[in-house]
Amino acid sequence: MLKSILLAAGTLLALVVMTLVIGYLLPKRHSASRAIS
Amino acid sequence: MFALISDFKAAPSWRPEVKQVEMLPAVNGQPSFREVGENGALTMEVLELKSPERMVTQIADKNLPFGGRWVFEISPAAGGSRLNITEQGEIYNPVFRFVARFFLGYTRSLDAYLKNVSHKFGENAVPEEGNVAAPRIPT
Repeated sequence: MLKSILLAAGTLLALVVMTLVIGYLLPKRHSASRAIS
Repeated sequence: MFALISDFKAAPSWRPEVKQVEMLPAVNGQPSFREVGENGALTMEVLELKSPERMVTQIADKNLPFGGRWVFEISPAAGGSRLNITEQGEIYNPVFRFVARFFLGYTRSLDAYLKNVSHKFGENAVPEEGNVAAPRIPT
Protein backbone atom coordinates (compact mmCIF):
# COMPACT_ATOMS: atom_id res chain seq x y z
CA MET A 1 0.00 0.00 0.00
CA LEU A 2 2.70 2.45 1.07
CA LYS A 3 4.75 1.47 -1.95
CA SER A 4 1.85 2.30 -4.28
CA ILE A 5 1.32 5.69 -2.67
CA LEU A 6 5.02 6.49 -2.90
CA LEU A 7 5.06 5.40 -6.53
CA ALA A 8 2.04 7.58 -7.37
CA ALA A 9 3.51 10.55 -5.51
CA GLY A 10 6.85 10.08 -7.22
CA THR A 11 5.22 9.90 -10.64
CA LEU A 12 3.20 13.03 -9.95
CA LEU A 13 6.28 14.87 -8.73
CA ALA A 14 8.21 13.78 -11.83
CA LEU A 15 5.44 15.07 -14.09
CA VAL A 16 5.35 18.42 -12.30
CA VAL A 17 9.13 18.79 -12.48
CA MET A 18 9.12 17.77 -16.16
CA THR A 19 6.40 20.33 -16.92
CA LEU A 20 8.34 23.06 -15.15
CA VAL A 21 11.68 22.19 -16.76
CA ILE A 22 10.29 21.92 -20.29
CA GLY A 23 8.16 25.04 -19.79
CA TYR A 24 11.19 26.92 -18.52
CA LEU A 25 13.22 25.86 -21.56
CA LEU A 26 10.55 26.87 -24.08
CA PRO A 27 11.00 30.34 -25.58
CA LYS A 28 9.09 33.06 -23.78
CA ARG A 29 8.07 34.75 -27.02
CA HIS A 30 6.16 33.33 -29.94
CA SER A 31 4.61 34.53 -33.18
CA ALA A 32 1.59 33.04 -34.87
CA SER A 33 -0.33 34.31 -37.85
CA ARG A 34 -3.77 33.42 -39.20
CA ALA A 35 -5.90 34.92 -41.93
CA ILE A 36 -9.27 34.87 -43.66
CA SER A 37 -10.21 36.13 -47.09
CA MET B 1 -13.79 45.55 -42.22
CA PHE B 2 -11.48 48.09 -40.60
CA ALA B 3 -14.51 49.93 -39.19
CA LEU B 4 -15.69 46.71 -37.57
CA ILE B 5 -12.44 45.68 -35.90
CA SER B 6 -11.61 49.20 -34.71
CA ASP B 7 -15.02 49.77 -33.11
CA PHE B 8 -13.98 48.24 -29.80
CA LYS B 9 -17.10 49.34 -27.94
CA ALA B 10 -19.28 47.30 -30.31
CA ALA B 11 -17.29 44.08 -29.90
CA PRO B 12 -19.85 42.35 -27.62
CA SER B 13 -22.39 42.51 -30.47
CA TRP B 14 -20.31 40.23 -32.71
CA ARG B 15 -17.78 38.51 -30.42
CA PRO B 16 -19.75 36.11 -28.19
CA GLU B 17 -16.80 35.63 -25.82
CA VAL B 18 -16.71 39.36 -25.02
CA LYS B 19 -19.43 40.35 -22.57
CA GLN B 20 -18.63 44.01 -22.07
CA VAL B 21 -16.22 46.70 -23.22
CA GLU B 22 -15.38 49.79 -21.23
CA MET B 23 -13.53 52.57 -23.03
CA LEU B 24 -10.65 54.03 -20.98
CA PRO B 25 -8.75 57.32 -21.31
CA ALA B 26 -6.55 57.42 -24.39
CA VAL B 27 -2.90 56.42 -24.04
CA ASN B 28 -0.44 58.38 -26.17
CA GLY B 29 -3.38 59.68 -28.16
CA GLN B 30 -4.62 56.18 -29.03
CA PRO B 31 -7.73 54.36 -27.77
CA SER B 32 -7.56 52.19 -24.70
CA PHE B 33 -10.22 49.87 -23.39
CA ARG B 34 -11.02 47.04 -21.01
CA GLU B 35 -12.88 44.04 -22.31
CA VAL B 36 -14.61 41.64 -19.98
CA GLY B 37 -15.02 38.08 -21.17
CA GLU B 38 -15.44 34.52 -20.04
CA ASN B 39 -11.90 34.44 -18.65
CA GLY B 40 -11.94 37.77 -16.86
CA ALA B 41 -10.98 41.31 -17.81
CA LEU B 42 -8.22 42.35 -20.17
CA THR B 43 -6.96 45.90 -20.55
CA MET B 44 -5.90 46.73 -24.08
CA GLU B 45 -4.23 49.71 -25.67
CA VAL B 46 -3.92 50.58 -29.34
CA LEU B 47 -0.39 51.17 -30.61
CA GLU B 48 -1.19 51.81 -34.26
CA LEU B 49 -4.42 52.75 -36.01
CA LYS B 50 -3.86 53.26 -39.70
CA SER B 51 -7.17 53.06 -41.51
CA PRO B 52 -8.01 51.10 -43.54
CA GLU B 53 -5.14 48.64 -43.53
CA ARG B 54 -3.32 48.25 -40.24
CA MET B 55 -3.99 48.22 -36.51
CA VAL B 56 -1.87 47.04 -33.59
CA THR B 57 -3.30 46.35 -30.15
CA GLN B 58 -1.41 45.34 -27.04
CA ILE B 59 -2.29 43.87 -23.68
CA ALA B 60 -1.66 46.63 -21.17
CA ASP B 61 -2.04 44.58 -17.98
CA LYS B 62 1.31 43.96 -16.32
CA ASN B 63 0.17 41.40 -13.75
CA LEU B 64 -0.86 38.60 -16.10
CA PRO B 65 1.13 35.43 -16.87
CA PHE B 66 1.06 36.42 -20.54
CA GLY B 67 1.18 39.51 -22.71
CA GLY B 68 1.79 40.64 -26.24
CA ARG B 69 0.15 42.25 -29.20
CA TRP B 70 -1.94 41.55 -32.24
CA VAL B 71 -1.06 43.07 -35.61
CA PHE B 72 -4.11 43.37 -37.85
CA GLU B 73 -3.46 43.80 -41.58
CA ILE B 74 -6.20 44.21 -44.17
CA SER B 75 -5.43 43.90 -47.85
CA PRO B 76 -7.50 43.62 -51.02
CA ALA B 77 -8.42 40.10 -52.09
CA ALA B 78 -10.51 38.54 -54.83
CA GLY B 79 -14.11 39.44 -54.11
CA GLY B 80 -13.38 41.36 -50.92
CA SER B 81 -10.66 41.72 -48.33
CA ARG B 82 -8.13 39.61 -46.54
CA LEU B 83 -7.64 40.01 -42.80
CA ASN B 84 -4.32 38.76 -41.47
CA ILE B 85 -3.63 38.80 -37.75
CA THR B 86 -0.22 38.13 -36.27
CA GLU B 87 0.07 37.39 -32.58
CA GLN B 88 3.39 38.43 -31.08
CA GLY B 89 2.94 36.86 -27.71
CA GLU B 90 4.88 36.43 -24.52
CA ILE B 91 4.18 33.81 -21.86
CA TYR B 92 6.01 34.50 -18.64
CA ASN B 93 4.86 31.50 -16.62
CA PRO B 94 6.63 28.22 -17.56
CA VAL B 95 3.55 26.11 -16.81
CA PHE B 96 1.43 28.30 -19.10
CA ARG B 97 4.17 28.02 -21.74
CA PHE B 98 4.06 24.24 -21.53
CA VAL B 99 0.27 24.10 -21.77
CA ALA B 100 0.13 26.60 -24.63
CA ARG B 101 2.83 24.82 -26.59
CA PHE B 102 1.63 21.23 -26.20
CA PHE B 103 -2.12 21.45 -25.50
CA LEU B 104 -3.80 24.74 -26.42
CA GLY B 105 -1.68 25.99 -29.30
CA TYR B 106 -1.08 29.62 -30.19
CA THR B 107 -3.85 30.12 -32.74
CA ARG B 108 -7.02 29.33 -30.82
CA SER B 109 -7.87 32.97 -30.00
CA LEU B 110 -6.87 34.13 -33.47
CA ASP B 111 -9.14 31.58 -35.13
CA ALA B 112 -12.06 32.44 -32.85
CA TYR B 113 -11.67 36.14 -33.62
CA LEU B 114 -11.42 35.58 -37.37
CA LYS B 115 -14.45 33.28 -37.41
CA ASN B 116 -16.44 35.96 -35.59
CA VAL B 117 -15.42 38.54 -38.20
CA SER B 118 -16.49 36.20 -40.95
CA HIS B 119 -19.84 35.46 -39.28
CA LYS B 120 -20.44 39.19 -38.85
CA PHE B 121 -20.29 39.52 -42.62
CA GLY B 122 -22.58 36.53 -43.08
CA GLU B 123 -19.82 34.22 -44.25
CA ASN B 124 -18.16 31.09 -42.94
CA ALA B 125 -14.52 31.60 -43.85
CA VAL B 126 -12.09 29.08 -42.40
CA PRO B 127 -8.94 30.65 -40.91
CA GLU B 128 -5.75 29.57 -42.60
CA GLU B 129 -2.04 30.04 -42.05
CA GLY B 130 -1.25 33.74 -42.34
CA ASN B 131 1.82 35.81 -43.09
CA VAL B 132 3.81 36.81 -40.06
CA ALA B 133 3.73 40.59 -39.77
CA ALA B 134 6.73 42.87 -39.88
CA PRO B 135 9.33 42.44 -37.14
CA ARG B 136 8.30 43.04 -33.57
CA ILE B 137 8.07 46.63 -32.47
CA PRO B 138 10.68 47.16 -29.71
CA THR B 139 9.07 47.22 -26.25
